[in-house]
Amino acid sequence: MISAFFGLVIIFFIMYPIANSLLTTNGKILIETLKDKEVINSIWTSIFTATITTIIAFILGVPFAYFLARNDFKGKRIVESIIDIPIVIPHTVAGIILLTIFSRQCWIGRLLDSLGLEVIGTRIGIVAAMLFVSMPLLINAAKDSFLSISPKLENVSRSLGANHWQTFLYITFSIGWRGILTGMILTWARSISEFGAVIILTYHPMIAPTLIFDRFNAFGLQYSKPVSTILIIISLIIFIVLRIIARRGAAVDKN
Amino acid sequence: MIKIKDLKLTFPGFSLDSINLSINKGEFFSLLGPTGSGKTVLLESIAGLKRIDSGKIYINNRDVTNLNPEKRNISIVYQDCALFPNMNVKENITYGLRFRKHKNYSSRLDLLVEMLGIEKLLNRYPHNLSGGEQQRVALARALIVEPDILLLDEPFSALDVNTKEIVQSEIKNIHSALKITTIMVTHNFSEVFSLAEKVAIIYKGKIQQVGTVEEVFKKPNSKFTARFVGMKNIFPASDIKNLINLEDIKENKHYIGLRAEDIIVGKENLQTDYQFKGKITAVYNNGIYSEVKVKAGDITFTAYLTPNRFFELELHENKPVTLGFNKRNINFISESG
Repeated sequence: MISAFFGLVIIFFIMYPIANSLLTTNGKILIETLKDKEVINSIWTSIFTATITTIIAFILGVPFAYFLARNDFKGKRIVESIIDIPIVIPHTVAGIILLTIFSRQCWIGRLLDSLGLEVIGTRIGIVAAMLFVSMPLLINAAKDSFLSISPKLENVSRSLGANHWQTFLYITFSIGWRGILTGMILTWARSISEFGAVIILTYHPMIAPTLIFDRFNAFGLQYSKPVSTILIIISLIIFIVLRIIARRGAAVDKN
Repeated sequence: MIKIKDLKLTFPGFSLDSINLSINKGEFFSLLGPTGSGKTVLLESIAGLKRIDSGKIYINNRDVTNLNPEKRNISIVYQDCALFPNMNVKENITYGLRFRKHKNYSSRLDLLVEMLGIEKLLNRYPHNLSGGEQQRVALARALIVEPDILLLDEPFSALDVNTKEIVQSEIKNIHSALKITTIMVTHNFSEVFSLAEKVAIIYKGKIQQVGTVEEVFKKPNSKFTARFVGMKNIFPASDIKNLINLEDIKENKHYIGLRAEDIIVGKENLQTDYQFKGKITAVYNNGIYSEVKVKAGDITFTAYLTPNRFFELELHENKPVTLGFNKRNINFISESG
Protein backbone atom coordinates (compact mmCIF):
# COMPACT_ATOMS: atom_id res chain seq x y z
CA MET A 1 0.00 0.00 0.00
CA ILE A 2 2.75 2.39 0.99
CA SER A 3 4.62 1.51 -2.20
CA ALA A 4 1.57 2.56 -4.25
CA PHE A 5 1.52 5.84 -2.35
CA PHE A 6 5.19 6.40 -3.14
CA GLY A 7 4.34 5.69 -6.78
CA LEU A 8 1.67 8.40 -6.67
CA VAL A 9 4.19 10.86 -5.21
CA ILE A 10 6.63 10.07 -8.04
CA ILE A 11 3.96 10.41 -10.76
CA PHE A 12 2.83 13.71 -9.21
CA PHE A 13 6.42 14.94 -9.07
CA ILE A 14 6.87 14.25 -12.78
CA MET A 15 3.48 15.21 -14.12
CA TYR A 16 2.53 18.26 -12.08
CA PRO A 17 5.33 20.59 -13.30
CA ILE A 18 4.66 19.53 -16.90
CA ALA A 19 0.90 19.98 -16.60
CA ASN A 20 1.40 23.23 -14.75
CA SER A 21 3.64 24.56 -17.51
CA LEU A 22 1.14 23.55 -20.19
CA LEU A 23 -1.88 24.97 -18.37
CA THR A 24 -0.46 28.23 -17.07
CA THR A 25 1.26 29.46 -20.21
CA ASN A 26 -0.39 32.56 -21.55
CA GLY A 27 -2.12 31.59 -24.81
CA LYS A 28 -1.45 34.92 -26.48
CA ILE A 29 2.25 34.79 -25.73
CA LEU A 30 2.30 31.14 -26.85
CA ILE A 31 0.90 32.06 -30.28
CA GLU A 32 3.31 34.98 -30.54
CA THR A 33 6.17 32.67 -29.61
CA LEU A 34 5.12 30.22 -32.33
CA LYS A 35 5.51 33.03 -34.87
CA ASP A 36 8.97 33.87 -33.54
CA LYS A 37 11.54 32.74 -36.13
CA GLU A 38 14.27 32.34 -33.52
CA VAL A 39 12.08 29.95 -31.54
CA ILE A 40 11.12 27.91 -34.62
CA ASN A 41 14.77 27.76 -35.71
CA SER A 42 15.96 26.60 -32.31
CA ILE A 43 13.30 23.90 -32.08
CA TRP A 44 14.10 22.77 -35.62
CA THR A 45 17.83 22.69 -34.75
CA SER A 46 17.05 20.59 -31.68
CA ILE A 47 14.94 18.08 -33.61
CA PHE A 48 17.34 17.96 -36.55
CA THR A 49 20.51 17.47 -34.49
CA ALA A 50 18.86 14.96 -32.12
CA THR A 51 17.69 12.95 -35.14
CA ILE A 52 21.14 13.03 -36.79
CA THR A 53 22.65 12.01 -33.43
CA THR A 54 20.25 9.08 -33.16
CA ILE A 55 21.03 7.93 -36.72
CA ILE A 56 24.80 8.08 -36.07
CA ALA A 57 24.38 6.30 -32.72
CA PHE A 58 22.35 3.62 -34.52
CA ILE A 59 24.92 3.11 -37.30
CA LEU A 60 27.89 2.97 -34.91
CA GLY A 61 26.23 1.55 -31.82
CA VAL A 62 24.12 -1.36 -33.07
CA PRO A 63 26.97 -3.38 -34.66
CA PHE A 64 29.11 -2.68 -31.59
CA ALA A 65 26.29 -3.71 -29.23
CA TYR A 66 25.91 -6.94 -31.23
CA PHE A 67 29.65 -7.56 -30.98
CA LEU A 68 29.53 -7.08 -27.20
CA ALA A 69 26.49 -9.32 -26.81
CA ARG A 70 27.96 -12.20 -28.78
CA ASN A 71 31.65 -12.16 -27.86
CA ASP A 72 33.62 -12.72 -24.70
CA PHE A 73 37.11 -11.32 -24.60
CA LYS A 74 39.71 -10.15 -22.13
CA GLY A 75 38.92 -6.65 -20.92
CA LYS A 76 35.24 -6.81 -21.96
CA ARG A 77 34.13 -5.43 -18.60
CA ILE A 78 36.52 -2.52 -18.96
CA VAL A 79 35.14 -1.76 -22.43
CA GLU A 80 31.58 -1.90 -21.06
CA SER A 81 32.53 0.43 -18.22
CA ILE A 82 34.09 2.89 -20.66
CA ILE A 83 30.83 2.99 -22.62
CA ASP A 84 28.99 3.95 -19.43
CA ILE A 85 31.39 6.75 -18.44
CA PRO A 86 29.42 9.55 -20.24
CA ILE A 87 26.40 8.66 -18.08
CA VAL A 88 28.25 9.53 -14.87
CA ILE A 89 30.17 12.59 -16.09
CA PRO A 90 28.40 15.91 -15.37
CA HIS A 91 27.31 17.26 -18.73
CA THR A 92 29.09 20.57 -18.40
CA VAL A 93 32.27 18.58 -17.78
CA ALA A 94 31.52 16.55 -20.91
CA GLY A 95 31.23 19.87 -22.78
CA ILE A 96 34.57 21.08 -21.41
CA ILE A 97 36.47 17.91 -22.34
CA LEU A 98 34.94 17.87 -25.80
CA LEU A 99 35.79 21.55 -26.25
CA THR A 100 39.38 20.70 -25.32
CA ILE A 101 39.80 17.98 -27.93
CA PHE A 102 38.00 19.89 -30.68
CA SER A 103 39.96 23.09 -30.10
CA ARG A 104 43.07 23.84 -32.14
CA GLN A 105 45.25 23.04 -29.15
CA CYS A 106 44.51 19.34 -29.63
CA TRP A 107 45.62 17.28 -32.65
CA ILE A 108 42.03 16.09 -33.25
CA GLY A 109 40.84 19.69 -33.51
CA ARG A 110 43.74 20.56 -35.84
CA LEU A 111 43.08 17.45 -37.97
CA LEU A 112 39.38 18.28 -38.34
CA ASP A 113 40.29 21.86 -39.06
CA SER A 114 42.65 20.80 -41.84
CA LEU A 115 39.81 18.73 -43.30
CA GLY A 116 37.62 21.83 -43.27
CA LEU A 117 35.37 20.50 -40.49
CA GLU A 118 34.53 23.10 -37.92
CA VAL A 119 33.03 21.59 -34.78
CA ILE A 120 32.92 24.33 -32.17
CA GLY A 121 30.05 26.74 -32.68
CA THR A 122 28.38 24.62 -35.40
CA ARG A 123 25.70 21.97 -35.67
CA ILE A 124 28.47 19.37 -35.81
CA GLY A 125 29.42 20.47 -32.31
CA ILE A 126 25.82 20.07 -31.15
CA VAL A 127 25.70 16.55 -32.59
CA ALA A 128 29.10 15.69 -31.05
CA ALA A 129 27.92 16.81 -27.60
CA MET A 130 24.60 14.97 -27.93
CA LEU A 131 26.31 11.83 -29.20
CA PHE A 132 28.78 11.79 -26.31
CA VAL A 133 26.09 11.90 -23.64
CA SER A 134 23.40 9.77 -25.28
CA MET A 135 25.14 6.97 -27.17
CA PRO A 136 25.55 4.70 -24.10
CA LEU A 137 21.75 4.51 -23.86
CA LEU A 138 21.42 3.07 -27.36
CA ILE A 139 24.37 0.70 -27.03
CA ASN A 140 23.11 -0.68 -23.72
CA ALA A 141 19.52 -1.06 -24.91
CA ALA A 142 20.62 -2.79 -28.12
CA LYS A 143 23.06 -5.03 -26.25
CA ASP A 144 20.34 -6.11 -23.77
CA SER A 145 18.04 -6.77 -26.68
CA PHE A 146 20.62 -8.96 -28.46
CA LEU A 147 21.47 -10.78 -25.22
CA SER A 148 17.82 -11.77 -24.84
CA ILE A 149 17.96 -13.56 -28.21
CA SER A 150 19.39 -17.07 -28.00
CA PRO A 151 22.44 -17.56 -30.24
CA LYS A 152 20.89 -20.93 -31.06
CA LEU A 153 18.32 -19.11 -33.23
CA GLU A 154 21.19 -17.67 -35.24
CA ASN A 155 22.88 -21.09 -35.40
CA VAL A 156 19.73 -22.68 -36.78
CA SER A 157 19.38 -19.89 -39.34
CA ARG A 158 23.00 -20.34 -40.48
CA SER A 159 22.58 -24.10 -40.75
CA LEU A 160 19.46 -23.57 -42.88
CA GLY A 161 21.46 -21.63 -45.47
CA ALA A 162 21.39 -17.99 -44.33
CA ASN A 163 24.70 -16.14 -44.24
CA HIS A 164 25.77 -13.79 -41.44
CA TRP A 165 23.95 -10.74 -42.80
CA GLN A 166 20.77 -12.60 -43.71
CA THR A 167 20.71 -14.13 -40.24
CA PHE A 168 21.20 -10.73 -38.63
CA LEU A 169 18.47 -9.19 -40.75
CA TYR A 170 15.81 -11.92 -40.66
CA ILE A 171 16.42 -13.24 -37.16
CA THR A 172 18.44 -11.08 -34.79
CA PHE A 173 17.29 -7.64 -35.90
CA SER A 174 13.82 -8.84 -36.73
CA ILE A 175 13.35 -10.15 -33.18
CA GLY A 176 15.35 -7.49 -31.35
CA TRP A 177 14.23 -4.33 -33.18
CA ARG A 178 11.85 -3.23 -30.44
CA GLY A 179 14.69 -3.11 -27.91
CA ILE A 180 16.80 -1.18 -30.39
CA LEU A 181 13.92 1.22 -31.10
CA THR A 182 13.55 1.78 -27.35
CA GLY A 183 17.27 2.61 -27.28
CA MET A 184 16.78 5.03 -30.18
CA ILE A 185 13.86 6.72 -28.41
CA LEU A 186 15.97 7.14 -25.29
CA THR A 187 18.91 8.45 -27.32
CA TRP A 188 16.70 10.91 -29.16
CA ALA A 189 14.99 12.04 -25.95
CA ARG A 190 18.32 12.43 -24.18
CA SER A 191 19.67 14.43 -27.12
CA ILE A 192 16.65 16.72 -27.28
CA SER A 193 16.98 17.45 -23.58
CA GLU A 194 20.76 17.94 -23.63
CA PHE A 195 21.91 21.37 -22.58
CA GLY A 196 25.07 21.33 -20.43
CA ALA A 197 27.45 19.82 -22.95
CA VAL A 198 25.94 21.58 -25.96
CA ILE A 199 26.04 25.11 -24.53
CA ILE A 200 29.79 24.85 -23.93
CA LEU A 201 30.56 23.48 -27.38
CA THR A 202 28.00 25.44 -29.41
CA TYR A 203 26.04 28.40 -28.08
CA HIS A 204 25.05 29.48 -31.58
CA PRO A 205 23.20 28.10 -33.53
CA MET A 206 20.90 27.70 -30.57
CA ILE A 207 19.04 24.55 -29.71
CA ALA A 208 15.74 25.00 -27.88
CA PRO A 209 17.15 24.42 -24.34
CA THR A 210 19.86 27.04 -25.03
CA LEU A 211 17.21 29.51 -26.24
CA ILE A 212 15.11 28.85 -23.14
CA PHE A 213 18.15 29.50 -20.95
CA ASP A 214 19.01 32.59 -22.99
CA ARG A 215 15.50 34.03 -22.70
CA PHE A 216 15.29 33.18 -19.03
CA ASN A 217 18.52 35.07 -18.39
CA ALA A 218 17.58 38.04 -20.54
CA PHE A 219 13.81 38.38 -20.07
CA GLY A 220 12.81 36.13 -17.17
CA LEU A 221 10.38 33.28 -16.61
CA GLN A 222 7.44 34.73 -18.54
CA TYR A 223 9.31 34.69 -21.85
CA SER A 224 11.17 31.42 -21.38
CA LYS A 225 8.06 29.46 -20.38
CA PRO A 226 6.23 29.50 -23.77
CA VAL A 227 9.31 28.10 -25.49
CA SER A 228 9.51 25.40 -22.81
CA THR A 229 5.84 24.58 -23.35
CA ILE A 230 6.28 24.26 -27.11
CA LEU A 231 9.32 22.02 -26.61
CA ILE A 232 7.38 19.85 -24.14
CA ILE A 233 4.45 19.48 -26.58
CA ILE A 234 6.67 18.57 -29.56
CA SER A 235 8.83 16.17 -27.53
CA LEU A 236 5.78 14.44 -26.05
CA ILE A 237 4.12 14.04 -29.46
CA ILE A 238 7.24 12.43 -30.97
CA PHE A 239 7.82 10.33 -27.86
CA ILE A 240 4.23 9.03 -27.85
CA VAL A 241 4.26 8.26 -31.59
CA LEU A 242 7.48 6.23 -31.25
CA ARG A 243 6.11 4.40 -28.20
CA ILE A 244 2.96 3.47 -30.15
CA ILE A 245 5.11 2.11 -32.98
CA ALA A 246 7.10 -0.01 -30.50
CA ARG A 247 3.85 -1.23 -28.85
CA ARG A 248 2.29 -2.11 -32.21
CA GLY A 249 5.41 -4.11 -33.07
CA ALA A 250 4.99 -6.03 -29.84
CA ALA A 251 1.35 -6.77 -30.61
CA VAL A 252 2.17 -7.97 -34.16
CA ASP A 253 4.93 -10.24 -32.84
CA LYS A 254 2.57 -11.77 -30.29
CA ASN A 255 0.06 -12.76 -32.93
CA MET B 1 30.36 -40.25 -45.34
CA ILE B 2 31.39 -38.10 -42.33
CA LYS B 3 35.01 -38.37 -41.29
CA ILE B 4 36.49 -36.44 -38.41
CA LYS B 5 40.27 -36.55 -38.12
CA ASP B 6 42.20 -35.38 -35.04
CA LEU B 7 39.74 -32.64 -34.23
CA LYS B 8 40.91 -30.32 -31.47
CA LEU B 9 39.10 -27.40 -29.95
CA THR B 10 39.99 -25.50 -26.79
CA PHE B 11 37.81 -23.20 -24.69
CA PRO B 12 38.75 -21.67 -21.36
CA GLY B 13 38.49 -24.64 -18.99
CA PHE B 14 37.41 -27.13 -21.63
CA SER B 15 38.79 -28.88 -24.69
CA LEU B 16 37.90 -31.47 -27.30
CA ASP B 17 40.95 -33.61 -27.77
CA SER B 18 41.94 -35.74 -30.78
CA ILE B 19 38.45 -36.62 -31.89
CA ASN B 20 38.39 -39.27 -34.61
CA LEU B 21 35.06 -40.51 -35.91
CA SER B 22 33.68 -42.13 -38.99
CA ILE B 23 29.95 -42.15 -39.67
CA ASN B 24 28.39 -43.99 -42.60
CA LYS B 25 25.83 -42.60 -44.99
CA GLY B 26 22.27 -43.03 -43.77
CA GLU B 27 23.42 -44.13 -40.32
CA PHE B 28 21.74 -43.12 -37.05
CA PHE B 29 24.74 -42.28 -34.90
CA SER B 30 24.65 -41.14 -31.30
CA LEU B 31 27.10 -39.16 -29.20
CA LEU B 32 26.51 -40.21 -25.62
CA GLY B 33 28.03 -38.53 -22.60
CA PRO B 34 27.27 -36.68 -19.38
CA THR B 35 26.54 -32.95 -19.24
CA GLY B 36 29.66 -30.91 -19.97
CA SER B 37 31.45 -33.72 -21.80
CA GLY B 38 31.68 -31.75 -25.06
CA LYS B 39 28.96 -33.43 -27.11
CA THR B 40 27.13 -30.27 -28.17
CA VAL B 41 30.40 -28.49 -28.99
CA LEU B 42 31.37 -31.42 -31.21
CA LEU B 43 27.97 -31.30 -32.89
CA GLU B 44 28.31 -27.56 -33.51
CA SER B 45 31.82 -28.09 -34.88
CA ILE B 46 30.45 -30.56 -37.41
CA ALA B 47 27.81 -27.98 -38.38
CA GLY B 48 30.51 -25.31 -38.75
CA LEU B 49 29.03 -23.23 -35.94
CA LYS B 50 32.21 -23.54 -33.87
CA ARG B 51 35.62 -23.03 -35.45
CA ILE B 52 38.00 -25.85 -34.60
CA ASP B 53 41.66 -25.31 -33.65
CA SER B 54 43.03 -28.18 -35.70
CA GLY B 55 41.99 -31.36 -37.45
CA LYS B 56 39.80 -32.03 -40.46
CA ILE B 57 36.14 -32.67 -41.12
CA TYR B 58 35.14 -34.43 -44.35
CA ILE B 59 31.62 -34.86 -45.64
CA ASN B 60 31.21 -37.12 -48.68
CA ASN B 61 35.01 -36.99 -49.11
CA ARG B 62 34.91 -33.19 -49.31
CA ASP B 63 36.98 -31.22 -46.83
CA VAL B 64 34.47 -28.89 -45.14
CA THR B 65 36.73 -27.83 -42.25
CA ASN B 66 36.79 -24.18 -43.30
CA LEU B 67 33.37 -24.02 -44.91
CA ASN B 68 30.74 -21.67 -43.48
CA PRO B 69 27.75 -23.39 -41.86
CA GLU B 70 25.33 -22.20 -44.54
CA LYS B 71 27.33 -24.08 -47.18
CA ARG B 72 27.49 -27.44 -45.41
CA ASN B 73 23.88 -28.54 -45.89
CA ILE B 74 23.64 -29.74 -42.31
CA SER B 75 20.48 -29.08 -40.29
CA ILE B 76 20.42 -28.85 -36.53
CA VAL B 77 17.57 -29.35 -34.06
CA TYR B 78 18.18 -28.11 -30.54
CA GLN B 79 16.76 -29.34 -27.26
CA ASP B 80 14.74 -26.13 -26.79
CA CYS B 81 13.77 -26.24 -30.51
CA ALA B 82 14.99 -22.67 -31.15
CA LEU B 83 11.90 -21.78 -33.19
CA PHE B 84 11.91 -18.24 -34.54
CA PRO B 85 9.42 -16.35 -32.34
CA ASN B 86 8.80 -13.70 -35.01
CA MET B 87 7.44 -16.25 -37.51
CA ASN B 88 4.45 -18.56 -37.52
CA VAL B 89 4.85 -22.32 -37.92
CA LYS B 90 4.68 -22.30 -41.71
CA GLU B 91 7.18 -19.45 -41.95
CA ASN B 92 9.46 -21.28 -39.54
CA ILE B 93 9.31 -24.49 -41.56
CA THR B 94 9.88 -22.80 -44.91
CA TYR B 95 12.58 -20.39 -43.64
CA GLY B 96 15.44 -22.39 -45.16
CA LEU B 97 13.79 -22.29 -48.60
CA ARG B 98 14.55 -18.56 -48.80
CA PHE B 99 18.19 -19.55 -49.25
CA ARG B 100 18.07 -23.07 -50.63
CA LYS B 101 15.66 -23.41 -53.50
CA HIS B 102 14.14 -26.84 -53.90
CA LYS B 103 11.98 -27.81 -56.84
CA ASN B 104 9.30 -29.83 -55.10
CA TYR B 105 9.24 -27.93 -51.89
CA SER B 106 5.47 -27.66 -51.64
CA SER B 107 4.98 -31.43 -51.89
CA ARG B 108 7.84 -31.89 -49.40
CA LEU B 109 6.16 -29.42 -47.06
CA ASP B 110 2.93 -31.41 -47.35
CA LEU B 111 4.76 -34.69 -46.78
CA LEU B 112 6.61 -33.47 -43.66
CA VAL B 113 3.57 -31.73 -42.23
CA GLU B 114 1.53 -34.90 -42.67
CA MET B 115 4.28 -37.17 -41.37
CA LEU B 116 4.61 -35.11 -38.22
CA GLY B 117 0.88 -34.42 -37.83
CA ILE B 118 1.23 -30.63 -37.66
CA GLU B 119 -1.29 -29.65 -40.38
CA LYS B 120 -3.42 -27.66 -37.95
CA LEU B 121 -0.52 -25.72 -36.48
CA LEU B 122 0.70 -23.90 -39.59
CA ASN B 123 -0.73 -20.49 -38.69
CA ARG B 124 0.13 -20.64 -35.01
CA TYR B 125 3.11 -18.93 -33.38
CA PRO B 126 5.78 -20.85 -31.40
CA HIS B 127 4.70 -19.51 -28.00
CA ASN B 128 1.27 -21.14 -28.54
CA LEU B 129 2.72 -24.62 -29.09
CA SER B 130 3.36 -27.44 -26.63
CA GLY B 131 6.85 -28.90 -26.20
CA GLY B 132 6.09 -31.85 -28.48
CA GLU B 133 4.55 -29.62 -31.15
CA GLN B 134 7.58 -27.31 -31.07
CA GLN B 135 9.90 -30.29 -31.50
CA ARG B 136 7.90 -31.50 -34.52
CA VAL B 137 8.01 -28.05 -36.13
CA ALA B 138 11.76 -27.85 -35.52
CA LEU B 139 12.16 -31.25 -37.19
CA ALA B 140 10.09 -30.22 -40.21
CA ARG B 141 12.11 -26.98 -40.51
CA ALA B 142 15.35 -28.96 -40.41
CA LEU B 143 14.20 -31.55 -42.94
CA ILE B 144 12.54 -29.38 -45.59
CA VAL B 145 15.91 -28.25 -46.98
CA GLU B 146 16.86 -31.88 -47.65
CA PRO B 147 20.01 -31.82 -45.54
CA ASP B 148 22.83 -34.30 -46.04
CA ILE B 149 23.11 -34.60 -42.28
CA LEU B 150 20.61 -34.06 -39.48
CA LEU B 151 22.00 -33.11 -36.07
CA LEU B 152 19.81 -33.61 -33.00
CA ASP B 153 20.98 -31.97 -29.78
CA GLU B 154 19.26 -33.65 -26.80
CA PRO B 155 15.96 -33.64 -28.70
CA PHE B 156 13.91 -35.27 -25.94
CA SER B 157 15.20 -33.80 -22.70
CA ALA B 158 12.61 -31.01 -22.59
CA LEU B 159 9.68 -33.39 -23.24
CA ASP B 160 7.45 -35.27 -20.80
CA VAL B 161 7.64 -39.07 -20.83
CA ASN B 162 4.58 -39.70 -23.05
CA THR B 163 5.47 -37.02 -25.61
CA LYS B 164 9.05 -38.24 -25.62
CA GLU B 165 7.93 -41.75 -26.64
CA ILE B 166 5.75 -40.38 -29.44
CA VAL B 167 8.43 -38.03 -30.83
CA GLN B 168 11.00 -40.82 -30.54
CA SER B 169 8.93 -43.11 -32.73
CA GLU B 170 8.31 -40.24 -35.17
CA ILE B 171 12.06 -39.66 -35.47
CA LYS B 172 12.56 -43.37 -36.02
CA ASN B 173 9.94 -43.38 -38.79
CA ILE B 174 11.42 -40.29 -40.43
CA HIS B 175 14.87 -41.84 -40.39
CA SER B 176 13.60 -45.06 -41.95
CA ALA B 177 11.65 -43.15 -44.60
CA LEU B 178 14.19 -40.47 -45.55
CA LYS B 179 17.46 -42.27 -44.75
CA ILE B 180 19.18 -39.07 -43.67
CA THR B 181 22.50 -39.48 -41.87
CA THR B 182 21.63 -38.49 -38.32
CA ILE B 183 23.81 -37.64 -35.32
CA MET B 184 22.00 -37.40 -32.02
CA VAL B 185 23.58 -36.04 -28.86
CA THR B 186 22.18 -37.33 -25.60
CA HIS B 187 23.08 -38.20 -22.03
CA ASN B 188 20.44 -40.91 -21.87
CA PHE B 189 21.43 -44.42 -22.90
CA SER B 190 17.84 -45.60 -23.30
CA GLU B 191 17.37 -43.04 -26.11
CA VAL B 192 20.46 -44.41 -27.82
CA PHE B 193 19.14 -47.91 -27.36
CA SER B 194 15.81 -47.22 -28.99
CA LEU B 195 17.08 -45.10 -31.91
CA ALA B 196 20.76 -45.39 -32.77
CA GLU B 197 22.72 -47.96 -34.71
CA LYS B 198 26.14 -46.81 -33.61
CA VAL B 199 27.28 -44.85 -30.59
CA ALA B 200 30.35 -42.96 -29.43
CA ILE B 201 30.84 -42.44 -25.70
CA ILE B 202 32.34 -39.03 -24.99
CA TYR B 203 33.71 -37.89 -21.65
CA LYS B 204 35.82 -34.87 -20.71
CA GLY B 205 36.27 -33.96 -24.37
CA LYS B 206 37.56 -37.39 -25.40
CA ILE B 207 35.95 -40.29 -27.22
CA GLN B 208 36.01 -43.25 -24.85
CA GLN B 209 34.51 -45.94 -27.05
CA VAL B 210 32.86 -46.27 -30.45
CA GLY B 211 30.86 -49.21 -31.67
CA THR B 212 27.43 -50.59 -32.41
CA VAL B 213 24.93 -50.00 -29.64
CA GLU B 214 25.00 -53.70 -28.80
CA GLU B 215 28.80 -53.80 -28.58
CA VAL B 216 29.02 -50.82 -26.28
CA PHE B 217 26.12 -52.06 -24.19
CA LYS B 218 27.52 -55.54 -23.79
CA LYS B 219 31.25 -54.87 -23.80
CA PRO B 220 32.01 -51.46 -22.31
CA ASN B 221 35.74 -50.88 -22.41
CA SER B 222 36.10 -48.69 -19.34
CA LYS B 223 34.64 -48.28 -15.90
CA PHE B 224 33.15 -44.94 -16.95
CA THR B 225 31.45 -46.38 -20.04
CA ALA B 226 30.25 -49.38 -18.08
CA ARG B 227 28.56 -47.13 -15.51
CA PHE B 228 27.20 -44.87 -18.22
CA VAL B 229 25.49 -47.70 -20.11
CA GLY B 230 23.81 -48.80 -16.91
CA MET B 231 26.15 -51.50 -15.61
CA LYS B 232 25.39 -51.44 -11.91
CA ASN B 233 27.98 -53.93 -10.65
CA ILE B 234 31.62 -52.97 -11.19
CA PHE B 235 34.21 -54.44 -8.83
CA PRO B 236 37.94 -54.94 -8.63
CA ALA B 237 38.64 -58.44 -9.95
CA SER B 238 40.57 -59.27 -6.77
CA ASP B 239 37.44 -58.68 -4.64
CA ILE B 240 35.31 -61.10 -6.62
CA LYS B 241 38.07 -63.71 -6.59
CA ASN B 242 37.42 -64.07 -2.88
CA LEU B 243 33.85 -65.17 -3.61
CA ILE B 244 34.19 -67.45 -6.62
CA ASN B 245 36.93 -69.32 -8.38
CA LEU B 246 37.24 -67.23 -11.50
CA GLU B 247 40.04 -68.88 -13.44
CA ASP B 248 40.18 -66.83 -16.59
CA ILE B 249 40.80 -63.43 -15.03
CA LYS B 250 43.75 -62.04 -16.90
CA GLU B 251 46.39 -59.97 -15.25
CA ASN B 252 45.43 -56.78 -17.10
CA LYS B 253 41.72 -57.07 -16.39
CA HIS B 254 41.46 -55.00 -13.27
CA TYR B 255 37.70 -54.74 -13.05
CA ILE B 256 34.72 -56.97 -13.57
CA GLY B 257 31.32 -55.70 -14.65
CA LEU B 258 27.93 -57.37 -14.35
CA ARG B 259 24.57 -56.00 -15.39
CA ALA B 260 21.97 -55.96 -12.60
CA GLU B 261 19.52 -57.89 -14.77
CA ASP B 262 22.08 -60.69 -15.31
CA ILE B 263 22.35 -61.43 -11.59
CA ILE B 264 19.98 -64.15 -10.43
CA VAL B 265 18.57 -64.08 -6.90
CA GLY B 266 17.14 -67.28 -5.37
CA LYS B 267 16.83 -69.34 -2.26
CA GLU B 268 19.49 -71.94 -3.17
CA ASN B 269 20.84 -74.17 -5.97
CA LEU B 270 20.61 -71.78 -8.91
CA GLN B 271 21.17 -73.02 -12.45
CA THR B 272 24.05 -70.61 -13.04
CA ASP B 273 27.79 -71.02 -13.69
CA TYR B 274 28.68 -69.29 -10.42
CA GLN B 275 26.77 -68.94 -7.17
CA PHE B 276 27.40 -67.78 -3.61
CA LYS B 277 25.57 -66.70 -0.47
CA GLY B 278 24.74 -63.16 0.56
CA LYS B 279 22.41 -61.05 2.70
CA ILE B 280 19.92 -58.43 1.48
CA THR B 281 20.81 -54.91 2.63
CA ALA B 282 18.14 -52.91 0.79
CA VAL B 283 15.12 -53.38 -1.47
CA TYR B 284 13.38 -50.86 -3.79
CA ASN B 285 10.18 -51.41 -5.71
CA ASN B 286 8.87 -49.11 -8.43
CA GLY B 287 6.07 -51.35 -9.73
CA ILE B 288 7.85 -52.16 -12.99
CA TYR B 289 10.92 -53.85 -11.54
CA SER B 290 12.43 -54.49 -8.11
CA GLU B 291 15.96 -53.61 -7.17
CA VAL B 292 17.71 -55.62 -4.49
CA LYS B 293 21.08 -54.87 -2.85
CA VAL B 294 22.85 -57.97 -1.59
CA LYS B 295 26.10 -57.97 0.40
CA ALA B 296 28.39 -60.93 -0.25
CA GLY B 297 31.93 -60.84 1.09
CA ASP B 298 33.19 -57.27 0.67
CA ILE B 299 30.93 -56.54 -2.31
CA THR B 300 27.40 -55.18 -2.45
CA PHE B 301 25.69 -56.47 -5.59
CA THR B 302 22.68 -54.88 -7.27
CA ALA B 303 20.17 -57.19 -8.92
CA TYR B 304 16.90 -56.50 -10.78
CA LEU B 305 13.92 -58.80 -10.44
CA THR B 306 10.40 -58.77 -11.78
CA PRO B 307 7.88 -57.79 -9.08
CA ASN B 308 6.36 -61.29 -9.36
CA ARG B 309 9.67 -62.97 -8.64
CA PHE B 310 10.30 -60.49 -5.84
CA PHE B 311 7.07 -61.38 -4.06
CA GLU B 312 7.47 -65.10 -4.79
CA LEU B 313 10.82 -65.13 -2.96
CA GLU B 314 9.41 -63.02 -0.11
CA LEU B 315 12.49 -60.82 -0.11
CA HIS B 316 13.14 -58.32 2.66
CA GLU B 317 16.11 -56.67 4.35
CA ASN B 318 18.56 -58.96 6.19
CA LYS B 319 17.19 -62.08 4.47
CA PRO B 320 19.94 -64.53 3.41
CA VAL B 321 19.79 -65.37 -0.32
CA THR B 322 21.83 -67.10 -2.99
CA LEU B 323 23.25 -64.99 -5.83
CA GLY B 324 24.35 -66.37 -9.16
CA PHE B 325 25.45 -65.34 -12.65
CA ASN B 326 26.73 -66.93 -15.83
CA LYS B 327 30.19 -66.74 -17.29
CA ARG B 328 28.97 -65.22 -20.56
CA ASN B 329 27.59 -62.20 -18.72
CA ILE B 330 30.89 -61.24 -17.12
CA ASN B 331 32.59 -58.16 -18.59
CA PHE B 332 36.30 -57.75 -18.11
CA ILE B 333 37.30 -54.12 -17.89
CA SER B 334 40.96 -53.45 -18.31
CA GLU B 335 41.36 -49.95 -16.97
CA SER B 336 40.10 -47.97 -14.03
CA GLY B 337 38.36 -45.29 -16.19
